[in-house]
Amino acid sequence: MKLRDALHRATGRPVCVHLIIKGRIGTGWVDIDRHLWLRKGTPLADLVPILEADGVPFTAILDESPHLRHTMMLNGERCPIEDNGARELEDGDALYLLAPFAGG
Amino acid sequence: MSMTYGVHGRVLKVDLSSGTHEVLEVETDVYRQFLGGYGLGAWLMWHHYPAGVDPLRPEACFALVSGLLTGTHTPFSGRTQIVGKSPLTGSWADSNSGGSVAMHLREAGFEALIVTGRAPEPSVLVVRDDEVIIAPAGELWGREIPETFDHLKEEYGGKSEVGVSAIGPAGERQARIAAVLNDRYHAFGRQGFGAIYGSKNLKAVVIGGTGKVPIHDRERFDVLCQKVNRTYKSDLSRFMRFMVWTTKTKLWFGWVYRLLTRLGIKADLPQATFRQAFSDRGTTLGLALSTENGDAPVRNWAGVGTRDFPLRRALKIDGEAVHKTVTKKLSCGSCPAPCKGIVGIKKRGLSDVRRPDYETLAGFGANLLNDDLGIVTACHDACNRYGFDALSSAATLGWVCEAVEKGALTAADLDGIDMRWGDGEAALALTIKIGTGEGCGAWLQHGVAAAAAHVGKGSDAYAVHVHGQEPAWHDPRFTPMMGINYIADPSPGRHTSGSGSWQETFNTGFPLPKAGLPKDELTVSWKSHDGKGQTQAHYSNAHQVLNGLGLCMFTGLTGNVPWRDLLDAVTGWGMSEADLLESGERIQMLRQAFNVREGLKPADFKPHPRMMGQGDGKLDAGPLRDIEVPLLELREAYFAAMDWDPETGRPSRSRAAALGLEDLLAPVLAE
Repeated sequence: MKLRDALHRATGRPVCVHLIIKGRIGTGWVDIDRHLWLRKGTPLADLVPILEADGVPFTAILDESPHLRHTMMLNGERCPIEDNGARELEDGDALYLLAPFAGG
Repeated sequence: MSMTYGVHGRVLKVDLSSGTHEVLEVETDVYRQFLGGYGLGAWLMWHHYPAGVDPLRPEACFALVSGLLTGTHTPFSGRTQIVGKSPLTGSWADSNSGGSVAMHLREAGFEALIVTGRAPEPSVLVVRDDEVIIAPAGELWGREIPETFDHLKEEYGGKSEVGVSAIGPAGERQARIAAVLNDRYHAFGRQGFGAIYGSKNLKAVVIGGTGKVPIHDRERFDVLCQKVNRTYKSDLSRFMRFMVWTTKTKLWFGWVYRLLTRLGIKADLPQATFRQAFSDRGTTLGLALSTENGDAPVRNWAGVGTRDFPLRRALKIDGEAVHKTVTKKLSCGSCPAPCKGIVGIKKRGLSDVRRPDYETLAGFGANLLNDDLGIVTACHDACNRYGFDALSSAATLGWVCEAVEKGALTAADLDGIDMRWGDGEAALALTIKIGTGEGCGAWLQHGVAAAAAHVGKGSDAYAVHVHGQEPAWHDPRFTPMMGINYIADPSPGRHTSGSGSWQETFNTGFPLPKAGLPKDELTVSWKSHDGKGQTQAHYSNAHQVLNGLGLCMFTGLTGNVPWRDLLDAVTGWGMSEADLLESGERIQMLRQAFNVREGLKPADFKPHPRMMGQGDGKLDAGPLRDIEVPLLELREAYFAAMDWDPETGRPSRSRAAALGLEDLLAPVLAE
């Protein structure tokens, strides 16, 4: 285990989630690939304020591109935030918000 | 006599059989009604294409056409268009490519070049201003695309002097998926135009001229062009790149953003971020997004991207990986944000290859479950060397994989090649066979429908096509509006002919916002089918305006190109956005009328069940799980919005009259 991982776990955030946000969102382009360390039992709904506090303009992203509410994917399956807000995130989850890129 | 601006009013018609040519005069009113590009092309084909004739017969014709802004150096106008009847589908055909051919055509004093007849021997058609020469192709016949272009460049000059449109060996053999290459790197890929060149013994068209398009208001035009160029160039400047870099959330701007949001100030993502990403990567930036989201069909439309070709594999052939192989940027011409490139891959000995774009990566990559970028690039190189469509050939190989899996084909049928999912080397070997036409290439070279008919054994059940044309790698289960386009547009199976899918998925704005259309008809909800037929009608009409002007379709994403103002500065016609949209509808109606005259009905353009989520197209996992799309109902809604009869496809007499087409289209109108 890496020291950084151990520190996160020791400070009460043992759940590591892989987050990728990528694509044309609004009229801009977002490319985020990072690991988030969360407290155990953190529900999906809490992700928005967590990301906002971490400098990811998530609310603005969803305002500009409302269809992204539907494209959230958890471990390879669609997982719309609004229908899955209570779902608890688990260690090793992969959470992708990949903006559709159709046509061209 | 008053001066005419923006058009020459001249079309060159060449008969290769007799070796003669004539110049046709075209009234300005025709351009006002149908613009240039596909519009002028549809008008010319309506008058000159002999109804019901096989497109590979000598008496059939095709036309190279210019958009009205092409040749004026308007930003994003470096496009060349071609129209005719498809040997692959038997329907209306058009295709749009980068390159300088149309620009040179206009400098030669023409808006279009119609070619009919069949040359008695393989030939090169050379047009230089009013001089027309049909020269023997000699040893050029049989040569691959790079050699052909090198030779023609030596003989006639580079692209600053002439535009060249040529075929490779696949076109010479009249392979139904053969392409035409323009300026070496750009292609009329779809619908088999390469076979039409081959049927006419036409190896290449070389066009050069010394004239100019007369501009109505030069000062205003220059200001408009400078404004567009400045916007893009400042977004792509080093300073802006630095500023965008600072907005990466891992950097200090993340803290600034946090402060701003706490103060209630909304910080938008700058559009520059998208323009830069697109200019750097082009459509390759969408590959992994599309396989993961479900936009890109995998395993011949029966697989699940997230399961069969997961993100870690898709990223190996995504934009960033492809970008590392780029050795040179490539532009269509007159473009302030070039998005194409030339690539090289040392370990496969590849250099000077046009960068594979999204469709090639999705087709030879994700579709075949192949994550080897070197192989994908080599397949693309083969397509461009022999001159055939990357999209149709990759779709055919997906069908081959499934046919082998199901026992309809064996390695013995494929000259010893055991084509399995994920076997890139086998895919490359078969791609080369399609290019050479040798062995099994002889029956694979005509696309998936013909290959399935050749093999039989029920293999047509999983041959995914619309009336012979393999659809692009955009799944209607993901974007239903793309599906409407595949089966409702007069050119079936196409993804670049006016789908409103960018509105559906990106929320992009309508390109003619002042046309006076109700807002609720221009926006749709991705997750609902309500109103999509109507919205698709508006977007398809607007797309025909874009083609009529000769602009790049990606400006629909990158924005800030004032269509109406540019046209007005060039022509002085004073057309409003509503007038332009009406012209777009005329073009779409004329394209449809061509099909009616050819005896085609809407029901002929059948969607494959997999495209609708039916049968084994109803997926059991992934983002498209259990999704079904009522494409046939959506097509009916589209036809209703266009006022075309859903059974016969005939445009209504009343709508044709409203557009001033009642007399022109009288034989094909519905009462």
